[in-house]
Amino acid sequence: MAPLEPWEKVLVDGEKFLQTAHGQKSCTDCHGGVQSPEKDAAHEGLIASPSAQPERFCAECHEEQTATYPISLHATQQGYWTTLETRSLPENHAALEEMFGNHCASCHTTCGECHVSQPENVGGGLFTGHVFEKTPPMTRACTACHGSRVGNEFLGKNEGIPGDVHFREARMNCVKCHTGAELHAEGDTAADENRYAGTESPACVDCHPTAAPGGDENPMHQAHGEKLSCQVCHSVTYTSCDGCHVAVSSKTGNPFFETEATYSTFLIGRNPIQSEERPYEYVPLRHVPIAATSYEFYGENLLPNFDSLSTWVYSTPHNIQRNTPQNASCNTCHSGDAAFFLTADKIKPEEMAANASVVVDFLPPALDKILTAPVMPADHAEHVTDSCTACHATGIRGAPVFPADHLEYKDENCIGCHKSP
Amino acid sequence: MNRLRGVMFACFVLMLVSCQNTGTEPVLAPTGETVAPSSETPEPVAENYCLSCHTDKEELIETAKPEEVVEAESSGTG
Repeated sequence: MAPLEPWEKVLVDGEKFLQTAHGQKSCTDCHGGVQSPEKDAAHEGLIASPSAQPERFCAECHEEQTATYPISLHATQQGYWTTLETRSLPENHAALEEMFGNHCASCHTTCGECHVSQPENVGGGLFTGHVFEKTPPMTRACTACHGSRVGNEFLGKNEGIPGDVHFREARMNCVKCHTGAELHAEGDTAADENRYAGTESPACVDCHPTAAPGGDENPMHQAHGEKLSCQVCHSVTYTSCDGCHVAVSSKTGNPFFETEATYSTFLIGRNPIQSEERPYEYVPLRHVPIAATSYEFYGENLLPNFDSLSTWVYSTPHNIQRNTPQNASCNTCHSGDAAFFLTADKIKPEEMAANASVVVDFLPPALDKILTAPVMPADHAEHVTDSCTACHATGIRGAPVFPADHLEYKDENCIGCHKSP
Repeated sequence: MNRLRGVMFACFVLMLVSCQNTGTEPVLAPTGETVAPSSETPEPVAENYCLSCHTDKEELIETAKPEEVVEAESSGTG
């Protein structure tokens, strides 16, 4: 997105704007200031961004949206605080709040930063001569902020990686899936802790209901539907980052950041936020640029509970394809090749503890092993325990003892091959 | 024939309408107040200085405060 000239940012299209509902109000109704031919006098008491006070300037007409927007993630930025609080202790919060104010808070979004001008964070400037846009323009609003990962993936800006099929072939924009109701948090009664909290929404099966387990004849959907998120098979290489550190410049006094590395990965790991809403056992994982020392400029050891969250996190890459390298054949995953899996050797030693819950210990079994595995006897459904190893490790009650190559498997692995009759 | 009747009916209606307000005007109770003839002249439309400046590209270019170029100190992907 090319930066706008200073004059360009504030040029009003009188003809178009005055024909709109917002154009019926006087400028000073929303922006304060005074009517004067002198610039400085006119700008006395100017409110550059009226929608930073939505209850004062927007609620009169947009009551429903302004009622809930303050609890939306664009307003609260709660996603950051959920992880900061989990990794830190209350005594560190003051220092983290200072850090947040310097480096993160500018990503907060007002109504106007989606509907009338580019976000301040990327330089600001009116979209179309002060005409309010019901649908935020994708590249000047949404991906202006969500650009380096989601935007580049969706629009196909990562070299050699095609853009998302929803954009490439259907020219869908962000709000086709992320509706206004979602973005305004309409219907919500409490702030979400992050974007993956609660019901999976949007969900692929909202538009592709037959891809849900049991919904179509596709054997891959039948076999993997409940175990893998859709992105495991249908997304491709995406961006991960390492080691972001923030500080305030001693030279200019401005806050700045340094990211150690940015690279492309596609790695499947265990789901760090498995829940009823997101029951998948395996999901693509993206490395986020957090490090134990990311905020050390603001104090020593501000993240003492660093290991309580993984650094490879639940991810929904926005570069969906029907055909992908990993879904080209069963053997891509079922051949003992670890290329697509987050195995221990791909995790930095200092992050092993943090990622213990997401690392893939066992690669998917070979296809012939799955196909020839004995079906679980019907009477096992009545067993009060779901511990297979309780009987099959020792042969108690005549249970067949599993072979030596099964020794590393855990109970939850068994039903992957030994299906119910 | 029908047309002629229509024209005659229209003339009759016109005649009734033209006569209806010839009676006495309703008498208002005296209030003791006299209504001065209005000396107000229509207010001139106030000039919208905000709009006249912000729709004038040349004016904005001329009066724009140059933006301070901030040295980029961040590095890597944000």
